[in-house]
Amino acid sequence: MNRAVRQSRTLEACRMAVLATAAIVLVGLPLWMVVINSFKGQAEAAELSLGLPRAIEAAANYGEVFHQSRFIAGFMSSLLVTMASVGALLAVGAPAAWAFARSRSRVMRLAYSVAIVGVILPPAVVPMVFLMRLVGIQGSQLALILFTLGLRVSLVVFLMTGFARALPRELEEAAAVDGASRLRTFVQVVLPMMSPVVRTVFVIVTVLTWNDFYGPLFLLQGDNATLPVGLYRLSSGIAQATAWNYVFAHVVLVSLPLILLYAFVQRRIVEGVTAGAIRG
Amino acid sequence: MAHGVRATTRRRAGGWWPYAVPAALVVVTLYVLPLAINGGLAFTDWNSFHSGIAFNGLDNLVTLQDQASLVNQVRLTLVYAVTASALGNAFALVLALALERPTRSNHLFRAVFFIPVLLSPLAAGYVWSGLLDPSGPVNQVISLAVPGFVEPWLGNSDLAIFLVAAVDAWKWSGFFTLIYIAGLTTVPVELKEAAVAMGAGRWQVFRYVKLPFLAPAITFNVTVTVIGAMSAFDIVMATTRGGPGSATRVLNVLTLDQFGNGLYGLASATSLVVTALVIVTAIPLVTVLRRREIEG
Repeated sequence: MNRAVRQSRTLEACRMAVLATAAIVLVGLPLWMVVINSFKGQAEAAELSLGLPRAIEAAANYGEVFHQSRFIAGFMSSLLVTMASVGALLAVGAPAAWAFARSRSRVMRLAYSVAIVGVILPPAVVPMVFLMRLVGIQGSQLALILFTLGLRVSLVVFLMTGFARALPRELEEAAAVDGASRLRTFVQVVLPMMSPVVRTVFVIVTVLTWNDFYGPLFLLQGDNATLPVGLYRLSSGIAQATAWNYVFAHVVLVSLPLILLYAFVQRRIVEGVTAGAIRG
Repeated sequence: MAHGVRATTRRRAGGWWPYAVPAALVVVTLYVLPLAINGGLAFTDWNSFHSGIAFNGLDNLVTLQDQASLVNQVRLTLVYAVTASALGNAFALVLALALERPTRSNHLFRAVFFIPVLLSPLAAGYVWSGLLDPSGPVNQVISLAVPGFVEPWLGNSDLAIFLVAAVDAWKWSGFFTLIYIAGLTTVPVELKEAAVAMGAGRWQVFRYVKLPFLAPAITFNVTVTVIGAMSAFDIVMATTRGGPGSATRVLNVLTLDQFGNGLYGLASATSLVVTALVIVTAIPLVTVLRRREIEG
């Protein structure tokens, strides 16, 4: 074996060792601390040790989180807001992206610039509360859904238009020659071609909406709270020291749905996200 | 003839409108309108203690400066944004270079480092308040080497803002790693081979071959991290809630505090400061980074 090969093998071994250490220290141990302490009793969890539980209180902890933080109600609220927002965003985003990608009119180009302004600028939450009060839906999930639509529509239009621009026109032209109406062309020819970006946007916006805390904190009241608000109340509602066993049990429960979703769709999403970012 | 062409164009543009109108309506009514109203409310005395709303000029900004040292909180927000962006991008870039080749083990590492991206920022904040707790694992490990070591990390008003920003970097760097890896795949293989054949070292290959192709990814990542961090909120709420004192009270936390006290005009004014801050940093940032892309 020559020296260069041996040297590159050593280098490769070093690379793997450093990466493995980083993965364990930065991801493995934090997650381990969360999961293992969610199984311990409150006093034992207060030690925040990484050791195995002396007594397993998992059922009690997770049961308590279900009751105390009204987990099921929060879950349903999160699910409702996420599904309604994401569905509406895809429904308005896909046709708009096609129009912005194909129309050459100056007005449409201007409309596109306005439509993507929210990719960079932050939303204004206080007037939204004001407006929702004006129309009498302040504190309801509908108010949060409307806020989320305004908050994310720019990102959705931006990602989908970038994708639609790169689609080949030949199929659409052929459909037009065959006498298909524009609507029919959109439904039968364009939408199927857009399915990769639809999936990507679906996952991105689902993750962002499910995890959002800022919007719901301002816009939802009382029992309508979504899961992140429930987590915040759980941790700040306890007067003395933080009850880490409950907080961590909630963290596990609130994070699992997205980790499962991601595990199913992983590869396609990674491709979609990175392609959009580099092109944009 | 000219008339005919214009009519056709108009018909064509008109034909596209039905597809764009729903999205345009959403943008205008649910995003632009609230933003515009905020620009007005920021200069009113709107609060929960009296029913009328009247313009009060720049009073809100003066009040914010007097009572909440606005300038200092702007500075804090910028420190947070720069720290989160620098740490996150540096780590992501190193990770991307280490995980560049699409081998099986590299795919596994990419997936592992992506897990924090899926956690809600609030949950990520609780994970790190546990790790950095005075009796938490970080101090436990350090006190193995330094017996009796206790540092209240997040309770240290000099360190807290940097630590909270580091949690932000931790939460997002897995995502930015993927963007950098995608950027690295745009480097032509022949170019790398040619550089190596001409005797270029690892650093030179990175600096003169890979880095120019990474420019679009850098533009995207730096812009997104800086702008995103200007709106920092969740992680701060979970770790320090703005404290100790007001050492981590970034602008969005200040907005919530004013809002919670029923001082809606002041909350709007704070929110307007965030918008202004994003505009004045984002535009030069994008311009400079874009120019470097063309040169590179």
